[in-house]
Amino acid sequence: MKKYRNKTLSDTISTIGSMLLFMLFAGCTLMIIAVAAGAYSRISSNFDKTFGASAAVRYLSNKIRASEQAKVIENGTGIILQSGEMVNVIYFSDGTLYEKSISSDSEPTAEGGERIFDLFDMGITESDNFYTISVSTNDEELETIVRRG
Amino acid sequence: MINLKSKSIRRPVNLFFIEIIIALLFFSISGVVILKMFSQADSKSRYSAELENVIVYAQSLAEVYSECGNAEQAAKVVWDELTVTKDGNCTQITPTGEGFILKAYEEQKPTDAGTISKLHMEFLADEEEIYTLDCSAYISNERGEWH
Repeated sequence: MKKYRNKTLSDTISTIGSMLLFMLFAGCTLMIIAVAAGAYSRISSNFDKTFGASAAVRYLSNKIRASEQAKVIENGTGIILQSGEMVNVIYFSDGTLYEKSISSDSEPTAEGGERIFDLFDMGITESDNFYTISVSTNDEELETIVRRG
Repeated sequence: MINLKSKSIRRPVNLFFIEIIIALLFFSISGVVILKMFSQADSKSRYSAELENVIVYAQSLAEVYSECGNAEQAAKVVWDELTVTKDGNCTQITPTGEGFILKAYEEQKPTDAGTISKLHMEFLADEEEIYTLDCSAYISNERGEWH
């Protein structure tokens, strides 16, 4: 009888021990997953913050540098770029940056373009020597200067 | 009669205790390694964000410098608020609110027709170089004062 009671006690301890180990394993795993998710979301938001605005700024500045002639649309929400027979119209409307290519014979209008980036705001200003491009996303605002001509 | 022969008492090895220690050790080592990796990834991400920002500024600065041929003037176009200190041919520019400083080394060669200027830019964050860029400008004598 005594022997039977001892065996039951050791079985119970073993079961509790196994359960405790499993709980420890599950707890540590959950903790590491939580830390990993936090780090991932931080890195991801940092990435979006940085490269969202900078990609748009770089795209616009490279397009301006590559063009032969550039003319800012009246209210600064876009730019008309001419290279040979082709005219590119890049404009911002309703939180999106659009681009369309037309021939130099056609009238350049800021409509019917293809979507390039989603942005919060975009503006191009023209001074004597430079174009100043400012782009803002939900998290960041970036400005760059491109030489005219 | 006293039995002086020592009796070795055999205690049962507590396997459960050893198992818990091994599990804890394993998780602490894994935790340290993983947290270290996450912190490295986080700092790399912050560094790349800062580098991207600096590159955009450096390009703007190079564009303005190619037009005016003066590092201080170019910096004043790019940043609204900044502090400028000069030491020989090195101009140290500290833009307000940014986490970096710019060391600009200028070299100017006057010719009969104008001046060739070369600029070497070094961007430093926490006294560590993060980006460098070289650019140059040719300013004709015929051109008036740049403003």
